[in-house]
Amino acid sequence: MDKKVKLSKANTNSEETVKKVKPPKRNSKRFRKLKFKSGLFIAPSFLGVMTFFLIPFCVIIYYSVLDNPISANYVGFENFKNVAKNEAFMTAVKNTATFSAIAVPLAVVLSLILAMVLDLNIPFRSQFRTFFLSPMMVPVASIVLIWQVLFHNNGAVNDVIMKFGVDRIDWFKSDQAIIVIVILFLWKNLGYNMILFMAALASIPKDILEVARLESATPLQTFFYVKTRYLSSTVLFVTIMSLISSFKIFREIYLLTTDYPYPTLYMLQHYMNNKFKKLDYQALSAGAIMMSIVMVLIIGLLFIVEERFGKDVEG
Amino acid sequence: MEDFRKKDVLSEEILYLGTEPKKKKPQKNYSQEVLRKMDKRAARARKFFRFIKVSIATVIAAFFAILFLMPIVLTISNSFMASSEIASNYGTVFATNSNGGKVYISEKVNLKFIPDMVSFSQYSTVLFKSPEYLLKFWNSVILVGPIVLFQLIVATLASYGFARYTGKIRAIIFFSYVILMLMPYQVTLVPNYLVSSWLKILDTYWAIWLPGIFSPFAVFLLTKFMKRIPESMIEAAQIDGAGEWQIYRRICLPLCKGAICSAAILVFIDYWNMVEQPLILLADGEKHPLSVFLSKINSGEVGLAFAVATIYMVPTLLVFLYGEEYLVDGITYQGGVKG
Amino acid sequence: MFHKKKWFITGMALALSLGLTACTSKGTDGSDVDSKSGKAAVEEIVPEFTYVAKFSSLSEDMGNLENMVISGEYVYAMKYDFNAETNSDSSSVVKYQLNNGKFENPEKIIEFGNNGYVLNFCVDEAGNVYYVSRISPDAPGEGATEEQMNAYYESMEQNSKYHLIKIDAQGNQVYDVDFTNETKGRDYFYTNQITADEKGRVFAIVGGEGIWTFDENGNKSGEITVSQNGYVHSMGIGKDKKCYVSYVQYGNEGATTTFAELDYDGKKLGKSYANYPSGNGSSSFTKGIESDILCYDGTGVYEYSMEKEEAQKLLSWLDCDVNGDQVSAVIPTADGKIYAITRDWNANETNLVELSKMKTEDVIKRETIKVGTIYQDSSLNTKIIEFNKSNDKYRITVKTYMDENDWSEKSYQDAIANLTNDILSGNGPDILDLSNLDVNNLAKKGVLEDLMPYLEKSTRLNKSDFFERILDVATINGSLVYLPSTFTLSTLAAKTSLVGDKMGWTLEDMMKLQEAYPKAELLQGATKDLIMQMMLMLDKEAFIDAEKNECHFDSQQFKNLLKFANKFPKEYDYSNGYQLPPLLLKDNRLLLSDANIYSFEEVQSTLAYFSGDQVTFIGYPNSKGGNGCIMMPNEQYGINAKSEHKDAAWAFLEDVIDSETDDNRYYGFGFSTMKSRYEKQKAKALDVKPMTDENGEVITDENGNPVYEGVGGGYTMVGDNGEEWNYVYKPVTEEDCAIVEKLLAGATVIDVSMDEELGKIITEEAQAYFDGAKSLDDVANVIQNRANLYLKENN
Repeated sequence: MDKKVKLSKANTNSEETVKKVKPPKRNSKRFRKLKFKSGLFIAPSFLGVMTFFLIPFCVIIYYSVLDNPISANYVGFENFKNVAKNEAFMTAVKNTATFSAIAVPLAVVLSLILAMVLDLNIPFRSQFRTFFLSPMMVPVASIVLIWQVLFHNNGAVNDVIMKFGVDRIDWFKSDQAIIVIVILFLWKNLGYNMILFMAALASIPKDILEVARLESATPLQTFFYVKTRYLSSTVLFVTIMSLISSFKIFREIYLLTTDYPYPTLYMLQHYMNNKFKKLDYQALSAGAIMMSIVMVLIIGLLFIVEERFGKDVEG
Repeated sequence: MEDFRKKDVLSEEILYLGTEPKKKKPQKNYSQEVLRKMDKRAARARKFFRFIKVSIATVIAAFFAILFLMPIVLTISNSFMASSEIASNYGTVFATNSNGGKVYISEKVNLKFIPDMVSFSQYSTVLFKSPEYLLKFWNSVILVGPIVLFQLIVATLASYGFARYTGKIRAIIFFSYVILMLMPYQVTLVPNYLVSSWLKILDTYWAIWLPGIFSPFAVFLLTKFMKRIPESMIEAAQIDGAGEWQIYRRICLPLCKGAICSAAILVFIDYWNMVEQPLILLADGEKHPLSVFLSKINSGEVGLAFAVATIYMVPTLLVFLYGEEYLVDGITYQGGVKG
Repeated sequence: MFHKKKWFITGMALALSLGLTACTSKGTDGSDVDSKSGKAAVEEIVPEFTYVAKFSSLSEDMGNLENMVISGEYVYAMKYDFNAETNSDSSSVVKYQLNNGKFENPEKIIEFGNNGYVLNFCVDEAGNVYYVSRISPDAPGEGATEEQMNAYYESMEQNSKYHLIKIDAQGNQVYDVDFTNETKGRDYFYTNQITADEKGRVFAIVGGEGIWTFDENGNKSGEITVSQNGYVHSMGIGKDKKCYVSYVQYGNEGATTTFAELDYDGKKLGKSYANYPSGNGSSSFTKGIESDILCYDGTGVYEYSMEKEEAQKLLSWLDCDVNGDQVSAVIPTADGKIYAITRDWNANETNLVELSKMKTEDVIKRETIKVGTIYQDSSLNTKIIEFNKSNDKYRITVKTYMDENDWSEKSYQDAIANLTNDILSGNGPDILDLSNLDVNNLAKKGVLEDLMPYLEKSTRLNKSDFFERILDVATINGSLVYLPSTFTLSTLAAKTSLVGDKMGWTLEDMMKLQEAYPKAELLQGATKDLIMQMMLMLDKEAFIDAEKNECHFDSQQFKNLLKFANKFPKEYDYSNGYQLPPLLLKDNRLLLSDANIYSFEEVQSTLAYFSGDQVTFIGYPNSKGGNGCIMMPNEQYGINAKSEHKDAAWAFLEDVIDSETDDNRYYGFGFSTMKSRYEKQKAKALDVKPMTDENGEVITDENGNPVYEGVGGGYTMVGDNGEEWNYVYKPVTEEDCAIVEKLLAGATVIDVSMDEELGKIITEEAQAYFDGAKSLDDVANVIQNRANLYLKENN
């Protein structure tokens, strides 16, 4: 049973079961046919996205260079300068960035841990799975009610901490407000992320794990050198999904705190929402474009990292 | 699906019995019998540790599970409370004062899990006496159903296209899909309104269906899974004379069932909870879905809030249960030989 | 296991959908179940036909017609006449022939002189007329003492007799039944309406109770009770000659109307019909010609089919240029026309409206101008109807953004969001009703057209005729955004001995005043919230530095305000009953009185509260040094800068502003913004003479005070604890007018939006302090943070 397989860092070509066929040459006729035909598949989606997403985006770009949606005078980069200088906008950016920086990694890591915990073949696994998924079903209004009751100045959580002698905190109106929202976010999203990770964990080829064991690798080493490779694209995926969700959490925050919350809870979308109400559509658009640019950078980075890191695994 | 776990335990034992572990204490010259006994004890010890590990894990999982479940349990159990009980417990949370701001909750508000008196009054009011709720429920179904169905159709086609051929342009398009997907609704609402009014579909369901059907979200989800399908299988099919469409239908779709289900569930939840778009794009209040209605609960109707919420949750629950098996089993990577 | 689960779920889903469909479907039987929601499935007609109205006014003597019923080619109505000369009245039922839109050949069927009244009547298919009459004893004649008069009034009910009388089509009495015995024990008996079915059995709605039934011979045979939380609205005969009733019930969602058959034998409500257009509890119905029932309410006329249980809207009053609020009867005729009687209480006019159905394509189309408003405004509707009637080139339609069924804050926000969206996308209304909108913001964005050029070019209005102050206040960023036609003033008044004689003071001054008289009430009805709101609405400059865009809610000044507001009760304690302000003011138990001045006489009223002491109109506290008076313009209509019908819109505005401000017109309320008309109002107010009788002697009222024309002699206020205070009307003086002008000169307008947002933040947070849950500093800090955020966002 001596398998002389070296546990090297980038070694997956030992997968004999997967035959890797070289992609056809770029200029071949078959290739061009492929390009065309697969393009056809994309066509309906592309047209739709163009009409309902791209064109609106262009409209936004158009608005962002006007002084005012009504008078429609061209002002170039004025709006961008104004918005960038605006203190409220900066607060919003800071908060949103902080929130995402805390919440998204936490979501990824915690859900990975949970997935590994469930992976250990504990009893009632599938029931737990359902339970963890359940938060996604609850309507926003109920969530808001429960969170308010829990974290209000006179609410349940304060009750508990007062028993420990700690002064009560008005959670939504304090600097600790972000914690409440992070908890809300995690509660909502851990379930789905965890499922994704469980699936990903289950899909790591067993042979490699066996090999690792044979090589007497500790669980930790197994994790870091083997599993991460296979998980990397899932990690990227989960990160993007969590990022999307971290924007959607705005609705709950809005219902909990109305238009002008305590500054620590003031998110980019609050800014945008208020600007919309005041007919300041140009500021809204400028803000949105700046946000997209940042988004492009971040996601682009994530894509590149994933490319480099996990390239050898999937193919 | 084989359960590799069991196999591992067995093979572990075999492995340990067969090979030399690295950090082994220097052995005295025991007889075979004694050796086997020692190993067996070691194995039992390891089993014992394993047991502890599993128990701790179970406890942790259970703890989290309870935490996660709490709000749902609360919603359902509260839906069986009489309306007066709810008003007295939560009334102040929803109340608004004269200028529309929130009323300060001055007494302790606690979550009640067990109703003092079980009453079906909430349900009877909602189901029998006020067809409004049900009407809105059907509106929700009418709005969300087509979106889920058609978005998946369009998305599977598109993700097949992306997966089959990756060029520079494709990559850019895909990337832009991701970016567009991330735009919050405030940004796209007014342009959507404009586009809808140009296309003359304002105030009809189309204004919500069309942007929903063409949302890049499902494309993003599905492309990743489509890409995993090994070239070999596709090659094999092509050799057998299958055209692109056949490959799509016969090979990719079945393999991606899990992902499709997963996407369906997510899209469903997303649109089931949608509030702002119907509000602006559908001026006629009669057409509003339940989610909008639910978000308008004021202090007069707190009593019904929970029953309505429960009814609201039921379709989601059904969709979940239905798709859950697909969800987990299907997402798993399919080994190449199994093609 | 997997497959079983799948089937289980599918089964559940099917069961759920079937179950829910069953519940949603229409039709329930029985009268105990709450009616279906009032928002019936009313089909909006895709206009192949439109109704076009022709107006004719009814002659003077037909002015008091009520309860019109059509039967065959005759129209029956109740008429009440009062002859001032002979001081006699008569109550009668008159029968007219309806020929080509004219009421002709009046014939009095029943007539009562003094003390006899026809309470109600109805006519059945055969032409029989049924009516309920009340005969009261004669009043004591001239020269009766007050005691005698009081005794007469008190015993009138006990001594009145009630009869049910039936007269056949030829005019012969069939029966006359005295059912006074049945009415004993009530303070006041009245019937709202009666109806009779083909068998001659009569149903009567008895006010405050249910429905009484009378048999073929006129004897009371029973009672039908209707549910607790509502009332019976109207009854009538359907096309099938059965009697129907519509009754209103109050529930959680407001008023819902149910339409049901009257079951005589069972003495209960019979089958009820679904999807009846409820008109929010105010719809009446009459027998239709083609359709079963024709129902109408303040918005329009609907056809209702009992067989299909569906309603179809025939027309909307506004579209036909009829003021729906003034409609008192609707009569369909066999030739397909619909007649409506409208009564304008203020102008004292009664009109007959003939509505004929015409093919939409034949109707001349006019250019449409849209008015956008948040809340429905009946005075606006009245103005629009008048404009539409008189203008053949343009037609105005109204879009109300607020969902009238939901008055919550969120609904208001949604309405604003929708309006914003419309404006942004270019679909905005041509004319905007600015009264609930953030005018400053709209002006800054250039949404509103500058009206000044229009004003200068106008031939009907003269720019220099307007008060400068008004134009000043309505000009934002150099453009005139709205032009009100009338305004009212609101301020506070106090004794000069307490506050000095200069108008205007600051918050500190007010607080010092309260401290000087700690036991006194500052303002009647003041609570913590009220004080906070008042201060913030009116004196935000104290805490907000607009130039530097900073706010100082963590300043000691603001904290003082919070502490001050905290001294007031959370809710006003009405347990001592209503105390009369004048008495309190005299004793310095009340320090300020609010003065809402909408006419010159109000100045007098306000001053009179102080029982002769010297009064200063001290105004609401503010830190700008102004006189603290708030001006409230009565109309704030602006024109959308992107409108394509600006000239037409201006024509409408001109109409509104130029309409004569007559005291009788309830919507022309307040002082005119134009100096010429203001002078006229002033002259009229100053020119009040006491009434004189035939001999030239001054008429006095019971207290010996002269009675003035159009006003009266005075009134007496009685408090809950029995105390009294007399107000004696004195004619308006020049000083009073001078006060009005002085107030106007320094008045300001309230800034709706900023105050709303900040107000919300502050009141929300302040409550924590008021309830004692948080410390003053904490709360001030939170407010400062949030308000600061608000300001920074909007710099």
